[in-house]
Amino acid sequence: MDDLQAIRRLKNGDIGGLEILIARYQDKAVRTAYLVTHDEPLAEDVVQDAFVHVYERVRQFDERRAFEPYFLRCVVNAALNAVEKERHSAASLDCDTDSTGLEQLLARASSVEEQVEFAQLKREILAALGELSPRQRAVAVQRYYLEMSEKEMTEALEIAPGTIKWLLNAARARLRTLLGSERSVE
Amino acid sequence: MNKKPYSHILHGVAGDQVPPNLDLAPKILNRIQKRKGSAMQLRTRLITATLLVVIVFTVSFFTVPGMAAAIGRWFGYVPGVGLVREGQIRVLAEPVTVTRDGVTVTVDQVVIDSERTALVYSADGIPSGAIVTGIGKVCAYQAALRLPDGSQLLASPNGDQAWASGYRHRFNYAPLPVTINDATLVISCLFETQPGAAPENWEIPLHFILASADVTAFPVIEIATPTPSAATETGPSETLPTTLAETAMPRPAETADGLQSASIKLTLDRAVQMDDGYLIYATLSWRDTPFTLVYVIDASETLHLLDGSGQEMLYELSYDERTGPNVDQRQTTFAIKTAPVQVPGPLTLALDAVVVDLPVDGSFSFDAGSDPKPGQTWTLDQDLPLGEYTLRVHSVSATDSGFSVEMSSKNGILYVSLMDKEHPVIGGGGGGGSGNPGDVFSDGFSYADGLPKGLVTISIGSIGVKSTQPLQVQWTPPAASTQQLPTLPAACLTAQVWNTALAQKPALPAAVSGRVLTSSPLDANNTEKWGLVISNLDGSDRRVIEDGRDGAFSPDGALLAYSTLSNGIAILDLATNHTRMLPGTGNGDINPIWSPDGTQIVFNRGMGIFDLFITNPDGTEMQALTHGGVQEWPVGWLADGRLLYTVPGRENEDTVYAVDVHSGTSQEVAQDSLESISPDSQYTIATEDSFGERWLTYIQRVDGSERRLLADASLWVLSPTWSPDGEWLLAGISAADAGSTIGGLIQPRTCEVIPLPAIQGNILSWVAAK
Repeated sequence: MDDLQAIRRLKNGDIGGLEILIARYQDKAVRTAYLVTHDEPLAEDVVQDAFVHVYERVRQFDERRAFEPYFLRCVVNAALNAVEKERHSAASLDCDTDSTGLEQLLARASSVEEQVEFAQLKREILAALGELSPRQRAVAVQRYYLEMSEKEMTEALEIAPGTIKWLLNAARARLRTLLGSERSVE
Repeated sequence: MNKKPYSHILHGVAGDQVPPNLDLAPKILNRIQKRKGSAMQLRTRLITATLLVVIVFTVSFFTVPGMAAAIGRWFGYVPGVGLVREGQIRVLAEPVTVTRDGVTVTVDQVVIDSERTALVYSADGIPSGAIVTGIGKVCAYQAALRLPDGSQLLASPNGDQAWASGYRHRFNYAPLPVTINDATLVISCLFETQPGAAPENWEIPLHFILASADVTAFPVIEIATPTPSAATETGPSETLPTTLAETAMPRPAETADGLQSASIKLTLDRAVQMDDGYLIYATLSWRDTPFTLVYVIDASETLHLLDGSGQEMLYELSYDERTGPNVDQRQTTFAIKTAPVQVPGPLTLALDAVVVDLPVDGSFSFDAGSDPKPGQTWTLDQDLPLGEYTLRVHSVSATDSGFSVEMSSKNGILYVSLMDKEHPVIGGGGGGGSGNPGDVFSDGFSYADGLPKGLVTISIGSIGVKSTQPLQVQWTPPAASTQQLPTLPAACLTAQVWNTALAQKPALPAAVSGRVLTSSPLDANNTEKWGLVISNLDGSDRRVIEDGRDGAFSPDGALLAYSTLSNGIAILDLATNHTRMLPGTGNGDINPIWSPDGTQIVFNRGMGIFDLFITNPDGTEMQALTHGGVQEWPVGWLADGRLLYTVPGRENEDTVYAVDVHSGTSQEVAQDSLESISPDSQYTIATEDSFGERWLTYIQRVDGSERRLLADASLWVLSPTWSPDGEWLLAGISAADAGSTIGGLIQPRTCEVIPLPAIQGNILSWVAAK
């Protein structure tokens, strides 16, 4: 059963259609949310909410659109909202270290050896993502994980092209060295 | 040295942090059920009368102004509004329309009874660019009813419908006092639009009058609910009129899974007699059980409706403010809309299984130490008895702000609810089990004040398990109301024809051949991985294009244009296997089709834009064909060289346009839902919505004449694609209760049907063998 059939089942009131979509996309959705939130329970919570949103709004889902990119963009947005909400609530504990973190990250990234172990590189990348701001993480996830174009991200995040380019370049600069190193590992 | 795509690397990065074998479904479904329940309690003050005698009252198609309200009786079911109480009923004097900057807001309906003020309004003409389709900042939407004294009534939309340029919402506000006959609908902004992108701050004056005789309502038939003992032990009361007998079938005292679910009751509450079937409200009650919630899960598998001859009937679940769980009353109401009842006799509603939320009292502890760190794991490997169930707690892992627990169950725990009663928790979540013995699943939560130290005790408040206790109830519609709809003319393809063909396995005629392009799972064991598959009709000579998502053969069969997952449109030379990218295309460019002479390619550009573009196969002379900003979908080519495309419209009505690819001039040619056009441009395949999100499939002349039913609504018929010679159609066909779709050949003239089990997935293109 493809997504369209599942969506039609769900539109038909058959929640089994949602179960199919959950089974198909929960893993990627949680990974997507995790990359933005860096909080696994929160990521799962976000994804649960996103699927509930799908359920509640499925009648408005246009069947001519691919479900996966639509859904995963919603997950990114929800994850971003969730993590920013948490950051806001814990503002007193959350020092604004973005610029410092960027410099530190660039320094770390530039020092990574090409032949670093794959597992170690993944941890480094995770840490690198962790030092990005949530919005930068969202941009990085959209670009590198969901493989969205800059234009799509501009539309999706409703950010001026210049801003999105800045965010993306910042994320890219931090990640490229690490990812580039990893790409040559095998 | 192979290089990995960034996406693969990040997939692995995240995968290290995300538990394996995720199964969020039970928790999500539980959350949905609970939300529906709480929303319902906020929205309505539903009085569920349990009647010991049958009440049958047929509502005439007029109201009774001034009549004293009779709580428990229904005036009728008003389309668009729902069930309306009997008594003094007021309605909108006339629909009110306001247009601003091309956007029209119309208050279509208001019905005021003793319970609520139901208001339905629609908005249309919203610019596509103003609508937030994926993510993005959304305006703060609110539609309030302002009374003359300045006070406002608020409600959340509880019925909605949307189309490309608008939507319709229904609100249930508190009932207006009988002295108030004027109010203003105040809409802060249009639903799911970007702030400032469409007219905001709408104020629409409304005037209400007593309902007159022309209010249309479908009659409501109250169905007696026997007392629990009668329902369980004796079936229908002998006092019931024969036309309205309800039967609750005897049930074994205990289920195979050990749940004491004999006291879960399934009853029918009422039926609304509509033009094309019944809307039947049923209730699951669990008053005498320990359960906190009982609900229907996977209705397509577990909920069956049988007609008087015992045949399965089509139905669709219906959600409104009267449905959902009511935890206080310990019952869950659901409604189904039946297909037209054409066989006399009782309708049987049978439920094979339900999910129950069972409170348990269990806990486990571990020592988090004096300085727990994210990533730290404590292995527990202990079995936790929870009543008749056993939960295996494997380990606890610290996250940045909480704990994640890995668990499994050998006897069917679908999910658990974890809590830490000693420390404030801010975020829950996590997965549930599949119910398959031994599957590991996780659950977790976050703390408001960071990870606790020392001994941590995690309590389990409830578990979700499936009860397979069959429940069944019958109701006989009034004989006079059995709907005798005109019988559809015979279709070439019906479920019966299809099943017969599947059994007989007719051979593929020698004259039918060619190469078929499908989009389908690449591995039968891994349905997540889809790609393009080229094969012969018998599935032989299979060739896979892993990074393709849709495409089409060139008319001569030499080339395949396909959209890649992220890089644009590729053109594959099928003889040399050489692939080149179509210059000027990129991520989001999808759905390429070739012109009949193979000299041009049309495709959809951009996610969420979907304007049509046309280009030469070398990427030159690329230009936009349409500029609608709505989803234009190509159908095929007319004999005069114009391209037919459809635009989805309001309420599933597509508009068909023909565009001159040279001038870019589009002309509306029909209101129809077209699927494909024959190679000789003489016939089209059209669909028409039928019952329950199903559809009828027709073959007709391009001008709509000579329309003939090709397939009825008993099957899913997907993407009918013409053979190169126009003699056959190949479609993905799936029985209503089947999980998979396989190919099926249909000869439109002779109605010959040939299943092609080797063809799976979405049919995209068919070309003659070279």
